[in-house]
Amino acid sequence: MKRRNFLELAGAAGVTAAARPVLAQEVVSDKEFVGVLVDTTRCIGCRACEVACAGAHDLPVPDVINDGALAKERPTSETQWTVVNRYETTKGEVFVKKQCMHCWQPGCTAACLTNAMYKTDVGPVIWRSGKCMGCRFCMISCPFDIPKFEYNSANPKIQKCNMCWERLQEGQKPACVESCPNDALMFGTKRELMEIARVRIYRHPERYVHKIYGESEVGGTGWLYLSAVPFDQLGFRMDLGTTPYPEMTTGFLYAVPVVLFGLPAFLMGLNLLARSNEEATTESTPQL
Amino acid sequence: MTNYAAFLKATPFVLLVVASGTAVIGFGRSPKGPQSQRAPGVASPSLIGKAKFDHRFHVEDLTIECKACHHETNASTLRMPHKDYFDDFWIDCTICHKSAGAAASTPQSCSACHHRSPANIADETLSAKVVIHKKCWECHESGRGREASKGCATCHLKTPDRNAAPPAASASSKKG
Repeated sequence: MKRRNFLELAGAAGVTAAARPVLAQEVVSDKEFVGVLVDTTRCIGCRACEVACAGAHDLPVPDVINDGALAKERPTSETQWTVVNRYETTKGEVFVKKQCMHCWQPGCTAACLTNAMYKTDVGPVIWRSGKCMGCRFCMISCPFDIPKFEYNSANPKIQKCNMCWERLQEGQKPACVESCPNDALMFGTKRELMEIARVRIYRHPERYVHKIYGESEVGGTGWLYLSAVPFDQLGFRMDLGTTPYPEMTTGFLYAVPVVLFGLPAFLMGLNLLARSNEEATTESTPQL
Repeated sequence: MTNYAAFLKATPFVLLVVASGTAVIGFGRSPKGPQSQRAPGVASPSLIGKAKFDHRFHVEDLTIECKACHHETNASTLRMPHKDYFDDFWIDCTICHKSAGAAASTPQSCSACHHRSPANIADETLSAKVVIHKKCWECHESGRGREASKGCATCHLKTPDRNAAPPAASASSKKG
């Protein structure tokens, strides 16, 4: 084999090998992800959490006494990071707080081209304004329909619960958890919350449906829910499966560098093999 | 001088003694005495506005007994939340039972046992915020939805109106 061919082959092989570390990257940390346990059997629908959230983030404070918002099911909005909805169920009226679920492997973070959606090392998924380019892929990718874009603003932001990231860094709990008068919201590591949720179910098996929503939905979320009635009666999606959204495309994405470098290398190899000995040894003479 | 005259002379003095005696005894027994001095006003910090609890109003005007709310003084009958606390095995008995026997004989401030910053999240069953709400809601029904939103203002952000009736069921009839 001629030296040039050898170098070409070695180069292709080397680049393919260099791509391998990108495929398998692990970050090991001793910090546990935090979350919140929402016990819908305890929520009285006072909406103190909505008021506290607005107050903590300079958002317009909803007039919970007069706005009659409980009459209809609402999504989160550009001005409300969290909403409380009322559902009529087989066991009566149930109130459910809705906000970003802070998934363990968020679809929005994977979809974000600029890393504006960012999963912090302790769990909360935050939106970083300096990096956002306004493509709204996060909105499309969220299975819970949470991020909201300020369509009517000249300098639009994405509005989404950030689990009071600023407060967490000061050692405080999220504002909604702090304000709940009935302990419907509990903040802690997901491990602790799962233990408490299971204890509640074991201790009061007739009071709860034996399922903790968020335990493994889309690979697990930071916000967990307990309920007295089946979750589909409370507007929860039951069709999400346990595969994290990013994992649905990692197979394809990780194949790209392999194919990009491997295919030319393979074809080059075929080409070399397919050349007859005569062609390999004789140099083509340019025609004068 | 007859006995009658002597009697008349003594009467004002006797009356004075009796009146003074009554005043002293009356002062000692009246609710405006030492008892309400042990019922201090309570203002709790809160994210949605300071909550003021009018202790005197409940003790004097509504004549609710101490043990109706301060269940630590009534533990001999194992009333109310004691059974609930067995439900969560994270609760440490020594939080209230600082030494063997009854937890306390005189009314304590709520935060003597019910901490404002629970040590762990399982401990939150005992958190001051939750138990105080549950205690108040035994008489002042919290309501649900819009009623619950309106109820916050009963204590938070403004002093409750003394002359207003509590939103539901009378206080004294529920307690015994």
